[in-house]
Amino acid sequence: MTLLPAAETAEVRPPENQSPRGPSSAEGFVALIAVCRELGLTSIDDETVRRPHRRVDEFRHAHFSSDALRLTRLAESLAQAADVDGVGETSVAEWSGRAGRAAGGALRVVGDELAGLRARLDAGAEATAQADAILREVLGRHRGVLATVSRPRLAGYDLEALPAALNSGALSPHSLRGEVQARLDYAESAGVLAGDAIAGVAAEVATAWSVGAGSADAGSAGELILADLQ
Amino acid sequence: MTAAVIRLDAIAAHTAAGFDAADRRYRDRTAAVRTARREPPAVRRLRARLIADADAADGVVPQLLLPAGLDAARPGVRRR
Repeated sequence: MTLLPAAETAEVRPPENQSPRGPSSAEGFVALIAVCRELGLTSIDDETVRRPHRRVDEFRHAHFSSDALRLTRLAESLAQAADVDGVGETSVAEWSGRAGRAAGGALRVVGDELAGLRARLDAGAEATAQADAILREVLGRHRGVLATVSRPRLAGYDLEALPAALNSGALSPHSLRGEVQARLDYAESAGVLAGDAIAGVAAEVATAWSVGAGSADAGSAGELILADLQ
Repeated sequence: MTAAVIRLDAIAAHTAAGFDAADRRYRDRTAAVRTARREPPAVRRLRARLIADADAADGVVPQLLLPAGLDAARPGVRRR
């Protein structure tokens, strides 16, 4: 048996500014707030700025999209295959004799199960595709808010011009603090809204798959990307 | 349309309304902060000089008026 060095077996922790999935989506804003903190415009720490965006950072939308696309294609190809199978259905009624009737019965049972499976797959794929579209929109708005609040221009002054503007009295620290706080609140709202949407949508998709399977314990718990969100 | 899709649409509508409200709040707050910005530096300096002059005058005027016996006539001085 080969033993790995301790450094390779130890848990690898991401740097402070990174979620397990990578850097926070709020890093640009965190950098801006750090400058504001140096100017005495806020006392909020970096981790508090990042926290509302944690669920967004942990969600892998590209993987979710890929699953949604794969499921939609699978549902479509199954529908096409069923259409082709339907051509031979009439011949089943013509089967005669004990063996023919038994085979026909078995085929009907399998056909019913297949129809149920297809219905579940259609419903699940439809919900997943819808969820993908919703999350694309939500994440786009979240990115837009972060881009707005991260703009390196406050009260009409570029960041590097702020100290001089404050020292000369051209800018009031009070009004600047107001703008910084407005940005902090805006970013936090966006993070909470996007995080709630991700959690709500993921729960609905998981429910769509498990309800589709007929009972809560009989079906898939939405194991794909969703497993990471629970 | 399945029940799940209907519920997903409801989440989308609720989230979009939340973002719209957050956008509005941010615009209103930054607009309020910017209209409350201080006056231009030149005006601010002039105002500071006028206030300083008035304060200085407040100290000098009594000294000028007292020998003339006119201090009691100053506005704001209690009459005995």
